[in-house]
Amino acid sequence: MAQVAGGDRDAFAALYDRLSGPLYSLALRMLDDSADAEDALQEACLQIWHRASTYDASKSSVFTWAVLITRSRVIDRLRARGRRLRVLTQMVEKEEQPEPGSASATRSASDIVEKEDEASRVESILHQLPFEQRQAIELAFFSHLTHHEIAARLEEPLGTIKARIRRGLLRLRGALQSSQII
Amino acid sequence: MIAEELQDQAALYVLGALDSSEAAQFEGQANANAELQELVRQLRDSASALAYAAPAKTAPAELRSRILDQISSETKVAPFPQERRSVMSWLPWAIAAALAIYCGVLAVDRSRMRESVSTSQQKIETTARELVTTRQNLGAAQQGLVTTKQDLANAQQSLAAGQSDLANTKEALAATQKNLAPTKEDLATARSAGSLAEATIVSLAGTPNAKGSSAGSIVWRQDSQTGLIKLSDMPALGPGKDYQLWVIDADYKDPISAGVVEVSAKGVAELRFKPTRLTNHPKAFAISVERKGGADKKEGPIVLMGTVNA
Repeated sequence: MAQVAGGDRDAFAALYDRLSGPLYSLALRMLDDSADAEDALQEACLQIWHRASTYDASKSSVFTWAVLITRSRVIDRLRARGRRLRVLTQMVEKEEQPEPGSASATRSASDIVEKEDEASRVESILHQLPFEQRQAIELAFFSHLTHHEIAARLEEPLGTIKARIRRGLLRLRGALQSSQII
Repeated sequence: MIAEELQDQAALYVLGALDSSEAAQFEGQANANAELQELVRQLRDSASALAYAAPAKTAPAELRSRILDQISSETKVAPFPQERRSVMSWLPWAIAAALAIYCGVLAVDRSRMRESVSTSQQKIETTARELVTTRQNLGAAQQGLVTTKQDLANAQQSLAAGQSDLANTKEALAATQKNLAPTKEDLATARSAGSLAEATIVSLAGTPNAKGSSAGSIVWRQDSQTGLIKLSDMPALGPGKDYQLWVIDADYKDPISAGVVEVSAKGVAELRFKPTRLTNHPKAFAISVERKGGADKKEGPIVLMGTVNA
């Protein structure tokens, strides 16, 4: 990051190669539109390039910092284009399809084993979370809903939603730390 | 140990699931709690891993070229060399001074705007008050207009009634004049003959007991205690009834009979009369309906009457 902050174009290209996959996937998942996702990623990368000198390693990892920036740009686009409602509707349709726990169950064991990179390990950990916890967390993270909106959407008490998110996120932290991913 | 409630808030905060006021409140708490800050950092790292939960997609190759071309075209501001720092050390101070001046301008502008807003508010309040007054005046004027219209209608109604009364009066006057005309002719004749030097003329008009438009006149001569009576449009009386002439004198309690007046089939009468008693102060003459042949004292209803002018 220091090299990027110093204006090193090659260093930035290397950073892009490392992060663009998950960042683009995140943007595409939230926007559900490849052109929008590309634009959001481009805006995020330019912001990373311009603000690299403000990055503080004591506060977050580079990946976390990049995710925060990308997600902010995506949320701006969702707000600006008023497409949030459509995205949420599509989220509902998608989430109504799988049964709790079926995602990991239907995923072939060989597929998981073959993914030895960090992304596949994280994905595996995520799918080990109880469905209700993952569902609440993903609604907050990908759909940018507040806990009030999530409670209304899932027709659950607010306290239940808060507990699910807290437990899910703490369990995720524990699993990621055990795997030395974070 | 961080309270469970704060852990809830931290988890929601890193996911962006708190609303703006809740997030601001949480940040205030986190700033004063190092342990909470560390939890936030860890949870934020964990939350960012959720990006891997999205279906893995590869960004288009042309996007990479586009981004890299864009950053290449921009002039990246490199860190200033050490030896130039002393030269450019005034730059932050210059920026700060410029900002201070700008803030001053903004403060003056803000003050002017406040004054302008205050003036505008006063104008609005004044206009609002004037509007209320105008509305009140308008209401009063409308009420006055309604009253005036009512008065006008009443006046028109009164005028119509007055015109009707005037027409009736004119009609009655014409009838009286018509009745009086022969009497005047008689009076003129009598005066020319020198027989009525001191004569009084009395018009007889119908009372509420009268039927039809009967009327009459009397020429009364005080010195000789005689008179001439003429009647017209007198309704025919039933069998056993006669018209009787009376003189009402202030010196007598009862009217003094002046005899029965015979009316023709055409309802007219003309005769000379002389009261049965001396009358020094005649006040009025009257015609009543009495029994056939007349009565000593008035008994029936008076149908014609006329007062003697002093």
